[in-house]
Amino acid sequence: MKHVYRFSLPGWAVPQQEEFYALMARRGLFVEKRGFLLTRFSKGDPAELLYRLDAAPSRGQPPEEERLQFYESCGWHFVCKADYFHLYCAEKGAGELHTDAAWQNETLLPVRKSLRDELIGAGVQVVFWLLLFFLNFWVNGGIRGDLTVSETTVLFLAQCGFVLPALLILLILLKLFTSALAMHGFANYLRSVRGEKITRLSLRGFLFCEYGTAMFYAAVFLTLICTLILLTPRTVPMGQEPSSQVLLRLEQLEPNATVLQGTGSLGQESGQTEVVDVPLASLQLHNLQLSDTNGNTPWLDQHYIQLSGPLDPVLVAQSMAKYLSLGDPLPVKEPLPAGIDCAFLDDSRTDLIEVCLASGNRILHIQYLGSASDAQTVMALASQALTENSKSGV
Amino acid sequence: MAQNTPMTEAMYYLLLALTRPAHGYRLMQQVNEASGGRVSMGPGTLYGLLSKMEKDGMIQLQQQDERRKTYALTPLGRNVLKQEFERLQMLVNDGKKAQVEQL
Repeated sequence: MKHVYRFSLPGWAVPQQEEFYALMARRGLFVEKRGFLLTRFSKGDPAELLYRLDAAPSRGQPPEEERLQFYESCGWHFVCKADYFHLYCAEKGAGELHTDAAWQNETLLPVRKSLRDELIGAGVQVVFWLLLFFLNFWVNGGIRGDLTVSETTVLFLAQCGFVLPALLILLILLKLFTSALAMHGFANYLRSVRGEKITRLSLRGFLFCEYGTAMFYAAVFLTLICTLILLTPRTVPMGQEPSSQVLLRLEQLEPNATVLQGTGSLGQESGQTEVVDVPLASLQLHNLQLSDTNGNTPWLDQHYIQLSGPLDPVLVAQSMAKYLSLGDPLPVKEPLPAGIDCAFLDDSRTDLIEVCLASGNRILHIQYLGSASDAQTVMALASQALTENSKSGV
Repeated sequence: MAQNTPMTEAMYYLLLALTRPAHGYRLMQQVNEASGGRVSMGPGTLYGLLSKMEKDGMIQLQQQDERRKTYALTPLGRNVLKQEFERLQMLVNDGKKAQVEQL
């Protein structure tokens, strides 16, 4: 026997389902089984049949044998379970399955209660997850101390693993929306059972809305997933070909810089140089050596990242300037060096200069052991290093 | 349903039909006859009401064979039916006093 599948209509849409199954029977398609997503029809000769949904005493349970026999004796045959209901069919001309509106209304009240419970449950879940999400947000923001929310949004999204919580909340929001829709639709049906006049969409209109809405949400959902994947921040070490790029998540961004690609000198006193992960090729690669009058490397620390995602480099540079600095670098207002999109400088200390520059998708943060008089030199050299790397295309 | 709440038309006619013990399909016919063809009862309504009334103690199973169950009124059921009948009678009498027929 050949089978045909159609998308299932929502379980709460009682009159629409009954009308839909009767319409399909007129086209020679007889419902056999209703699943969550698809309904299976078998092919046969077109027939005029009546379909009625009878509230199931408990959701998902088959009807009692005694009830089946009684309905059979009256010409109503059990077809399948249908969410909150049991589906029966009869030849056209058979009497109605339910003839007393008051009693039918009473049998439908447990369904309304289930739908209401689902709606409340979805609402509670949304509140719970949103609270959890934003608590995480504020706690993470609080740890950073001197960062404001707006400045750290992008970094936070990466740090807290934004994708999964966002998807979870989206799914629960969708559930909340469909639950509210179900509650509203079923309340309308109850009013019609009680004899109140309601305006209802035609079956074709209802199907159009249902399928249209489903496709709209599928499109939104897929777009969101793609966007989130693209938005997931990554950094790549400078000097490596794209094929061998090591992707680093900004969630790994920590003040000790051990996960950043680059070198960090722990200071002149100790004479130690800590080489982290991949040696930073930026300055050395281009023979750009900065040294003080004694020939010592004057870097206290330096960080370099290259963004490969659609993050705003200026925003990230701004965050890095505050996040990684000991002081409080301020935006440089005077004309910036060629090729530099933004610069932050703190030359208020007597022994330390901090510079953070962004050029294209590259960001360089330097802590220089020197006085304010060296600030312009550091800026110029750092700019040169950053733009030279940009030009070299590595 | 509490005994002092007005019952639905279907319930009233079902109790009325059960003054003579009967099984499900026969009850449908008796309801139809008792109401002069005005009230017809679908199997969904009848089965649901029978289950509820049995649970409430208004009717009881009198006989059961393989295919059918025969129900009869309990003393409580008779009492409920009588109360409802008296209530309806009072309503009609009050209507008569107000000469509703001549409106």
